[in-house]
Amino acid sequence: MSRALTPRQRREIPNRIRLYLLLAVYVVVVSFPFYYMILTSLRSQKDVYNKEAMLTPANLILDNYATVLGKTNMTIWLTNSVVVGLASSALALVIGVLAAYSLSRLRFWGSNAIARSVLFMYLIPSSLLFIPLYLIIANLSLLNTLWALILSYQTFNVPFAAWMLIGYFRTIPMELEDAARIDGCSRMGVLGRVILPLSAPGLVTAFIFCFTNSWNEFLYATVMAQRSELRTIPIGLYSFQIADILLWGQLMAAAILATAPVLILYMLVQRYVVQGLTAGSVKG
Amino acid sequence: MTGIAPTPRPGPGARTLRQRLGREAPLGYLLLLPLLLVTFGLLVYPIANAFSISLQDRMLGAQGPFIGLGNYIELLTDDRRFRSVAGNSVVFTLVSVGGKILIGMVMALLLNQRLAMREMFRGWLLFPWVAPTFVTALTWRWMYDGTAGVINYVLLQLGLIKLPIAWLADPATAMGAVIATNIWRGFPFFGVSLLAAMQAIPHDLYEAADVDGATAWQKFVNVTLPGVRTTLVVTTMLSTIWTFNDFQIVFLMTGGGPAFATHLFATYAYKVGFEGSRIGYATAISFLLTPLLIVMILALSPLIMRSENE
Repeated sequence: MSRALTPRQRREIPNRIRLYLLLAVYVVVVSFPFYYMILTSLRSQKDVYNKEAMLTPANLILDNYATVLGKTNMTIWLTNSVVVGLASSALALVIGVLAAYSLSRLRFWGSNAIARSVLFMYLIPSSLLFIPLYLIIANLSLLNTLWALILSYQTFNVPFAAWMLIGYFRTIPMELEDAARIDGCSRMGVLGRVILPLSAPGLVTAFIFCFTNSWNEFLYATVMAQRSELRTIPIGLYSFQIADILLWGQLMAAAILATAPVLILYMLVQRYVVQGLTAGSVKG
Repeated sequence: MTGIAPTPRPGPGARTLRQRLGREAPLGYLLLLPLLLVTFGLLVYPIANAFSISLQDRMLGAQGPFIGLGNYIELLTDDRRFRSVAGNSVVFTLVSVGGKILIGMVMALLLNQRLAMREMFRGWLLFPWVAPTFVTALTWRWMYDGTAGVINYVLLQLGLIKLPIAWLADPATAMGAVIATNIWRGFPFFGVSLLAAMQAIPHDLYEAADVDGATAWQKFVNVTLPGVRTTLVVTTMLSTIWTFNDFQIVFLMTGGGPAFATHLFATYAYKVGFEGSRIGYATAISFLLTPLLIVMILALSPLIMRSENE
């Protein structure tokens, strides 16, 4: 309230300064790679290697974005990523909703064990699964189709969606459901008319997480969709890299186009990210 | 309890299957059907199938003879590359996870102070975790570039090095460089998770410690650390599983090189199976650690369950 600082507050000043200095270090370390990525993406191939103005913005151009979008398969890769992301997330959400309702609301033998195994499934790393999945997808003659990815991504999206929605459904008061049942609603009616509308935020969040995880997935896509017109964004970017000359300006422009959707989605659901973290919402 | 005769229960034959499984069992199982289909079709069966292939001397796209544990024995006794891969994986995991815990803990302590715009900073510092890993790996590869990389530029300008360093091409620095990137990517996960746990610690515990004249360090050890213990254990174990099985960062930054200095289990399995076509052997590589992995997951699941119920 008073303008003058109390002695205690005055003693605190050096501490506060140190605190903000440390915070500044964190902010710089976290931000710098993003800054440099943007800077590189706005430079010509010649300026990328120019040591005179390495850290400061000068001679910025948008050519790299135009080249990447116009002269490479970037738009095809973006489309593939969107298709795979939407399809695999939608499928996982349907499966997850049905399973979560069953495991959170119905009582029957084995339901607890199955709920536990959902978490277990989610924790199986892709490095263990990529060869087994590759062999199965090859057996099904689905290699080099987008189906290969849509199906493979169910291995992490389904357990994640189910796990997250079990938690969400449990927060919805049982009384609401009982009331609907008394009014003559069937179990499925309750799911459609009571549970789903009430868990809209949870559904949206689960969908966004599934979409992001699919968007970022690299290993399955590397082994299962090698033809250029079937690549998703991560593999497309990787193929930039194995060209003879590394065109860093274009590569960073493509990287920004690949990051933007994820960052935008993240900002939409930021609130839930923290809660989801310990459940392993983003697998890396 | 003694002295009271047990109530006679109806014999098992007297109950119908439906009673035994639960009245809601038919609908319950029906709704689980798609999940079970995914579990068996895309997890259980592929893993069992791949296990049988790990017992064969098989090339990609071909059949091969059954050789029992031959692949596993070759891995453990005869494969010098595998030995360096195993060593790399241990170093990569221990140093990465250790670094993430340390830097994440400081981040959490920092954001747990009274700060202007704390929420904004928390969201901002989470960016490395949110950005796609392939983008992070490529960007850092560019920053580490030996001739035009910005890291060399800054270090030269500051006079910290005399000559540019080929960070990713030199076996002496490649692993450290890859680990640094991995820590950058992963520490916010620890930071934000630990912060959430710290904010749940009741404030009067700190006030009581103040009354007792505790130093900041004593408060950290006796109040903060016990308060975040479960979260710390869960995040550490999760991160250990992920880091040990990491593929992207190494694959995109060094491809396992130079001279195998950064190859990990997953990149080595990929190399053997898809670049060398020895799919039976590659499968054995990725299965070798499964027992360890199962133990870790089994230890971790109840902890996650408990922390979610709190």
